[in-house]
Amino acid sequence: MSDVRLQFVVGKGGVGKSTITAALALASARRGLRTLVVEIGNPGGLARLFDVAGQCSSDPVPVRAGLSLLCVQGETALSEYLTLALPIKRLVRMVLSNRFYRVFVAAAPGLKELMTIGKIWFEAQKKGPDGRPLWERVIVDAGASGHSLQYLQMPAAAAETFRSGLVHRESLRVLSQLRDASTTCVHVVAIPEEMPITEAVGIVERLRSPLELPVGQLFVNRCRPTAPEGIDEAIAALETATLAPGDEAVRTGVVDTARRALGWERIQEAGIERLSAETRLAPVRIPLMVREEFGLAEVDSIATQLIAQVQR
Amino acid sequence: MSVARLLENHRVIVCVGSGGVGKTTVAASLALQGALAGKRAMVLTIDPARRLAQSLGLDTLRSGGERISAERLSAQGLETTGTLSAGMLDQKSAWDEFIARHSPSEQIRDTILQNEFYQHLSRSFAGSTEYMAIEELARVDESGQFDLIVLDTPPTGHALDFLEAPARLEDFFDRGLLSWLLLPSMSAGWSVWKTASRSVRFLFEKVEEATGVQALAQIASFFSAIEHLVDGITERGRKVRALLQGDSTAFVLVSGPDEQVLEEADELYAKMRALGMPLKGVVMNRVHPLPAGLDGPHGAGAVERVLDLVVARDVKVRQWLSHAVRDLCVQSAAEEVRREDFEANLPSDVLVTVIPEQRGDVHDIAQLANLGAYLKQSFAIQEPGGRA
Repeated sequence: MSDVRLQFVVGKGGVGKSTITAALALASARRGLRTLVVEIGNPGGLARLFDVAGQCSSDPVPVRAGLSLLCVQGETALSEYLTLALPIKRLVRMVLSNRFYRVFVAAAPGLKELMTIGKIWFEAQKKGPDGRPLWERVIVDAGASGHSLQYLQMPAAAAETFRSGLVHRESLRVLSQLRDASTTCVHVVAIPEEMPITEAVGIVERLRSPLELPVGQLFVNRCRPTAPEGIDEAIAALETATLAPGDEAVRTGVVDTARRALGWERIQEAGIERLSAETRLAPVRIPLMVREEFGLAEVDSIATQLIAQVQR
Repeated sequence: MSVARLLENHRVIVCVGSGGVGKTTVAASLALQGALAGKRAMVLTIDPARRLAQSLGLDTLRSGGERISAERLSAQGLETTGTLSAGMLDQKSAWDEFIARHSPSEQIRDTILQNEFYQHLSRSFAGSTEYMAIEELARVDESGQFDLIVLDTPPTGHALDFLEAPARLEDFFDRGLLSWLLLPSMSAGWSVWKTASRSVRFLFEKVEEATGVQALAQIASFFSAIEHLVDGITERGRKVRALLQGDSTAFVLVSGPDEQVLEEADELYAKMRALGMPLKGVVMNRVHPLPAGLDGPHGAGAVERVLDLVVARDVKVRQWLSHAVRDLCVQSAAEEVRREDFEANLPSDVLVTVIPEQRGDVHDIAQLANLGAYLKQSFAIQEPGGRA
């Protein structure tokens, strides 16, 4: 487990980013660290997982001992930001009721993403009454969006677009923190299939250049158990064995299932090998857990695995 | 009734769904089915197009679109009078072409293309892909070169941005907003506001301080050039919206049987209803049916008996096999419950097709054609012509 304070989790849609984010957050909280887990956009996977979908606001909601959840929405974040940047209340109200502002925020591409990153950064900087950081860990699910990297590239894009002034300075400040490997890391999640692996390699490359963000861990989610030696022979033997009458149909089913599972396992092993060769990172395997319902108990068992990994 | 039926009487098929469900594959497979039915079919995808290129056996995809050669199809035993083309959206050049098309003069076009704010807007800002995807769809449709266009929507997790894109585009280029922005003061660095009320002046001084004068001047010059394009773009927005809501367009929701994916699919469906976008088909991809022989009444006990007979002594192998069978049984049963719940909420006229998980990644034309066989079936989850 990475030990930096601000951790982002990125990856293509459908690979289980929320699950890994939640597991990292639970693991961190269980290790006694005051942890904030962040979901970007409308309350989604994380809010549902912790069963607080209706309660998300611009303030963190406690979900476990030592763990709070924050849902960050771009528009809300922007209003909040203006409240901070413009110290006069009447002025803030004027800006917010201004038609230009309302339309521009809803329509301008990029602004919401920028403000989202800004808000997360702001939360991460907050200090408690004792002067220590309010959160010892901030773990961010970087969006249900397939474009989670877009959030992370916003500070650089904004700093380039706005060449001077407050936005420029703030963007640079955020950017330098994001690029600081002692404060920030970006985890990448993949699943062990050909195209998702290729995409994960691409994400790691982009994080390294042009984004220049510190790469954290590479998680391969939903890994099947590695097939033992002798599996091919066993399946072949199964196929030709003499069985009790009536068991032939079952045998066909078992053989078919075994061959399919083995096929995916081979794709998995080849993929993980390629991933590790092309990224020069050691992928962390998270086991596939087939359950009737996938919920907190499953996420918690992943957290246990992550904690064990730290202690090894 | 199967989803492939939609190909008969629709010119545009828009595949929507959350990321990772196989939208690109399903889109390509639908287009291939169209081509095999004799149509001039086009599948349009958004970056990263590598996946589609891979599936079609092409090295790269070009933004103008590329025809898959008849030889490549017939090498797979696919003979047709139709054609299959594939194109990808290159966000930056799509914006440039969009501006060029709607600019009344070369001078205005160049002003916009050279504007720094525009360059960042079109290149690096999140969300602008969605605008351009719809624009590109309309453009290809108007070219009249295709009888069928299948759009693989951007891989935004919620895909909701995509559905809202036309409305957002119209907002962005709203004339009322523009006239407000076009006051000469914008480019003059707000000096004209000296005559305005003190509070307004103060507000703008603050905004200027926050963003930097240069940026504002750039933004102002962008909007003043854009003004000349507004009528065209607004008209365009109306046409695109009419195309999306029209009878010749069908939305197909691609989903998988996983919990989170189905929750997102529910959300997406609600949004589509609210926006008046007609959902006509659902493709439930990568479903895990139980293989014949394991769904009978003699289930678990018989599996153990068979395994005992062959691999009783090799504990690891036995465990692995038994684990694989158990996982599949649990997964299959759980998926069925979830799918039934989801489908119960769909109107009865929505066509539903189930595609079982394949034996590996789908990345060639033969495999796409094979998926097509499932798209032609409805509620059938056995292998086509298989052992069910």
